[in-house]
Amino acid sequence: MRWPAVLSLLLLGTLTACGPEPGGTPADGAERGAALPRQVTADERVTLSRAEEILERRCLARAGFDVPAPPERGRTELAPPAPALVLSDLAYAREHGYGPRVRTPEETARLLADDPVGDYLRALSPKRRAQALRAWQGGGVDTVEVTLPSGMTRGRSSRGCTSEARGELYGDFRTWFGVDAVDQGVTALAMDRAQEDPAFTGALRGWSHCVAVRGLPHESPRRLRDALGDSAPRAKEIEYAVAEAECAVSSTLAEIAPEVEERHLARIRARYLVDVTNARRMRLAALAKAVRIVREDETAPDDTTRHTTRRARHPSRAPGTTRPPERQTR
Amino acid sequence: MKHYVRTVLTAASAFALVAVAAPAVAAAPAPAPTATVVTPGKPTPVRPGADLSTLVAADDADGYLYAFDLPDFQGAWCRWNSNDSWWGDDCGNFNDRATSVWNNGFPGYYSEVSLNRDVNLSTNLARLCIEAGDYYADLSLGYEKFLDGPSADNAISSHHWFTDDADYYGDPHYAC
Repeated sequence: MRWPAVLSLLLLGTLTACGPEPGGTPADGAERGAALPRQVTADERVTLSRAEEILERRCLARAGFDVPAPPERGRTELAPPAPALVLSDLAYAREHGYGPRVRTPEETARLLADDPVGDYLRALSPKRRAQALRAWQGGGVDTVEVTLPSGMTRGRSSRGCTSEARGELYGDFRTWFGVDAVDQGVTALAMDRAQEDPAFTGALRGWSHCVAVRGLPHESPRRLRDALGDSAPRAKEIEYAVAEAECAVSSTLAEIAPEVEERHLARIRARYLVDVTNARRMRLAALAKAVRIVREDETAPDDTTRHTTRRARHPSRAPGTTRPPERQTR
Repeated sequence: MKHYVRTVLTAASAFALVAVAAPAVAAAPAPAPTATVVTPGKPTPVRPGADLSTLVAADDADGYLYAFDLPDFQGAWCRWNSNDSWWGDDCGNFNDRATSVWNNGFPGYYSEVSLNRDVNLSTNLARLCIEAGDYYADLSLGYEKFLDGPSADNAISSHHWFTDDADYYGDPHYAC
């Protein structure tokens, strides 16, 4: 079982280490200098996420829980092009708004109403449901934790199907957990620093004035997006996105933002180069396997690996139905 | 593993790079690395974490968000299996009190929890997010912050479950 993984790791390792990057976007300047492996594309990342979910379901099936597949995620448009301190691609904004990041209220309602996984779980007895969660999430046993670049610590169980699936896909859960968390943490910290960079905040003044004139008085793209939220009518989303992009282009923000972002990313990446390199390499190495898993799932003739046609027997819960919280003191 | 990363040689073979990328896989009977990596530094260590199993072993607890008064899941505690817009009337007032938290909710849609500084928050930068299965063991160290900056220690007032699609698409710029 390990050998195919080893072989694909070796193959992809060779490709990424020596050759032109397989099917990827060209690395930007800073990355070329540091000889980092490329990042996976947004599409590839979705493939990895889907493969993780499929492996989780197979693992749960082995544990006796025939959890159905979730419905397809809403929109499939590509994420806006980097950099993302500000959206400055006007054509993209006009056509896609903020892309898959924002849903319409109808899309949100549809996703809430069509919840086969939740229906399946709610149909279980409380005891079985607790067992399902333990099989899925590990029940707090054998936890591992890692300190992120920001200083915060993330921990989780190394047991359960979520962790098992990641270990199966990426080769080793513990290693993957660490490098993935740190890699994400590098970006998060760099973006936080960039938001406060004087070059960026200085350029925000012109941008902020520009959007205020359009009736959107927000001090930064972050605040503007926050005001929009993640569920908004399409026309409103496009209005906000176009305002952000047009004002970025008409002010100096579109020019300054990429430089600021890359400067902070490069600085923090340099400190965590091993983790970032390994995270990227592990994602690239897992791709071939992920593609195969997703393809198998799409063509599987029986219900053992694919459950998209199944529906739960007790679609009883209305979204948002609440139970009173437990009140306990230890 | 350590000597691989400490030693820096000029010719880095793909085998050695892979060995660092996935030590457990490389520990299988793969060909021995002939050269070693050019990557400086060491990987950030992953260490054993807290034992949370006693929390869920006692009963049929499932799908809860747990919050504790003290670091490392100690002291008075409270838990919820649905959204709650005001912690002040829970467990003898849990408003502005949590110092360690664990999201033991179900994975999948609406599996990530937004821990909110304010009451009845729908979308706001005054929140700290925690993925399904993850825990934060000690907010009092000051590193776990709301998106707009302040520490989340003794400052969480409400929470709701949500879907972090940006996370799914691997979009760090819009993810919570």
